Amino acid sequence: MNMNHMIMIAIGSIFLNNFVLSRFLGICPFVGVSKKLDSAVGMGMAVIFVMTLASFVTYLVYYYILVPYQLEYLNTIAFILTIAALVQFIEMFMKKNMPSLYSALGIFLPLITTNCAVLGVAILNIDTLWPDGSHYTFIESIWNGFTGGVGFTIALVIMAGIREKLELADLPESMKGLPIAFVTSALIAMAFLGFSGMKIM
Amino acid sequence: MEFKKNLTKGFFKDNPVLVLGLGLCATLAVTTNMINALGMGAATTFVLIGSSVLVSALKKVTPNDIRIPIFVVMIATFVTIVDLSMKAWMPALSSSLGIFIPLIVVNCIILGRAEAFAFKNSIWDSAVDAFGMGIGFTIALSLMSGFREILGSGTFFGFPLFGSAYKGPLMMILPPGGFLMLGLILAFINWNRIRKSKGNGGSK
Amino acid sequence: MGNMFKLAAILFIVGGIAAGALAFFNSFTKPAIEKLKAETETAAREYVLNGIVPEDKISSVIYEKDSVEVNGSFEYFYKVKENEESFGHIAYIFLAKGSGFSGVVETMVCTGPEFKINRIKVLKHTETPGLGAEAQTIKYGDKEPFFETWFKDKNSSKVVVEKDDSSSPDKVQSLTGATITTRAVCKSINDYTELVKKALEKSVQEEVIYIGDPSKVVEVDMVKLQAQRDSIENAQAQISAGGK
Repeated sequence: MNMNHMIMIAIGSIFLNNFVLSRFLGICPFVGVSKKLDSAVGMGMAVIFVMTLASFVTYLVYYYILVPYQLEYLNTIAFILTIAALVQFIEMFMKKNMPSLYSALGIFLPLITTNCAVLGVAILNIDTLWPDGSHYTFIESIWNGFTGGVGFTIALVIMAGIREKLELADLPESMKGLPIAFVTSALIAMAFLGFSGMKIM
Repeated sequence: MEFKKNLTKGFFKDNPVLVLGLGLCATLAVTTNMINALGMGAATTFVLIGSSVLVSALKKVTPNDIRIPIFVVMIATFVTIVDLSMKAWMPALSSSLGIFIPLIVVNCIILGRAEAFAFKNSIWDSAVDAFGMGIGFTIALSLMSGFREILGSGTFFGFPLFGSAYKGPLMMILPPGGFLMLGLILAFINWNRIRKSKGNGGSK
Repeated sequence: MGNMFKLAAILFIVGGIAAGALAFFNSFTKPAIEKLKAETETAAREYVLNGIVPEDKISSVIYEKDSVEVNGSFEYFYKVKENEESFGHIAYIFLAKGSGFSGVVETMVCTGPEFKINRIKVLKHTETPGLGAEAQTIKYGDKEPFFETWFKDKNSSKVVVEKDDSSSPDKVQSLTGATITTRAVCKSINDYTELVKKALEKSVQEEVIYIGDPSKVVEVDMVKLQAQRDSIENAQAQISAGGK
C-alpha cells in the first residue's frame, strides 16, 4: 500500500477534483436533495456507502471477469447493472436487518442508481493512471470511492446549510429555486478552486 | 399536427434541461466550447433515438416488472456503441468528452423518455419525440457553451471574436462558470415566464 | 417463484443479446482504434522530429528502438539516424510522463544529440479546460500550440518553470493558472532525459532497428554493426596515430 498515493487520492477527490464542484458528477441529487440539512446528511451517508461498495464490486467485476475474457468494452453495461443490482440488494438487506438505518437512508437509495457519481467513480477507478502507467489498486479504488463520497457529502452539506438560510432571504421572484441554487454552487465551486494550490507533487 | 407537437415540444416548451431539469451533469461538464457541446448533443440524440425506437418496438414483449433493467441494458448498449465509434473515428472529441460519454447511460433524459413516452407510444412517434428531445438537449448545451466560450475564451468554434489578445473572465470556462451560467439562464427563463403571465393578466 | 425465474431468464437473454451485439460491433472498432493509436504515435514522432530532419527526408530516417527499465516496466525511446550508412544519432525521441493537476500528462519529446529540445508534443492529459488544457490549444492562425513552442532549444535535462528558477537560461513561462501542469511537463522531461542518458551509457546489445513504418521491425545484425564500428575506430586510431 502506497501511503503517498492514498493521500493524493483523498485530497484529490475531496478538494482538488471534488466530484460535484469540479467534476460535475451527481448534480441531480446535489440540487434535488439540498433543501434541508437533515436530508442532505442522509443522502450524503447513503452515497458514501454506495460509492465505497460500488468501487469494491466493480473492481472485482472488471479485473476478475471482464479483463480475463477480454470483454473490457462491456464495462459500461456491466457496471450499471452491477450498481443497480447492488443498490437493490442493499435496500432489501437494510429493510430486513437494519430498519432504523433503512428509515433514515432508505428513501435515498433508489435515487442513487441514476447518480452519475457512482457510475463515474467506477469508470474513473479503471481509467485513472498513475504517472508510472499503473492503474489504481484494489485498496486505492475503494479508497477513491469512499473519499469521493465524502467530497460529495461535504459539497451537499455546505449547499444545504446555505439554502436553508436562503429560504429567509428576499430574492427577486425569477431567482427563486434552482437559479439561486446554481449561483450559490458557482460561489462554492470558486472557493474550492482555491484548493488548487494544495497539489502534492 | 401531432407530429409537429411531438417534434417541437422538446425544443423549448418541455426542454429537457432548461424546463424539466434533467441531464444536468453533462450540461455543466462538457459545455466549455461549442464543439464539445455539439458532439455531446449528437451522441445523446443518437442514444435517445436508438433506445426509444427499441423500447417502443419491444413494448409488447417486455415484462412490466423488469422493464427498467431492460431499458438500462438497451441504453447501455447504444452508449457503448457511441463510445467505441468515437474512440475509433473521432479520437479528439472522445478524449475531450472523456468520462461523460459512458455517463450518458445515467442521463435521466433517456430513461425518462423511454419510461414516459416510448413505452406507451408507437415506434414512429417515439422516434420523433426522441429526436425532438435530443435537439432540445443540444439547444441547451449550445446555449450554455456559446456564452461560456465567447465570454471565457473570446472564441466561437475556436474562431477568435475579439482578437487573439483578448483576456476574458477565464472563470466562465472553469467549473464555477458552468454553475453561474446555468443559474443565469434558468433565471432568465423564469423572468420571461413571469413577465408573460403578468402580460396575460395572471398574477403569477 | 417460477415467475421470478422467468423474469431472470428474460433479463439474462436481453443481456446476452446486448453483449453479442456489442461483441460484433467491437470487432470493427477494435482494429480501427489500434490502427489509430499506431498512426498517432508515428505522426507525433514525425512531428517532433521535424526541424532536425528536413520534412522530405523524415520518412527515410531510421529509428532504433531502445528501452529503459523504470520501476519494473519498460519505457521505450528512439535513437534516430539519418540513414542506414550514418552512425551518429541525430536525435532522441522519448515519451515523458508526469503527474499533472488531475492525471497523467504525456509528452512526446525530441532532442538533439546534446539534449537540446527540438520540439515537444503534448499527447495526452486530463487537465482542466481553460487552464492546463491550454497546453494543447492552437491559437487561431498558429500552426502549433503556443505552449509547445516555448520549449524550443531548451536543455531537456534542465528545463524549468520560470517561477521556480527565474535566472535559468532554460526557463519556460507557466500556463496561466496552470503552473502545476507546466511543472509536470518540465519535470517529466527532466526525469526521462536522465533515464535516456543512463540507457545510452549501457551497451548496444538490445538494439532493434526499423525504417519508417513501425510494423517492419528488423533485428540489427550485431556482428556487422560491431565490425563497422571497429573499422571506424581503427581508422580513427590510425588518423590520430598518424597525426602524432
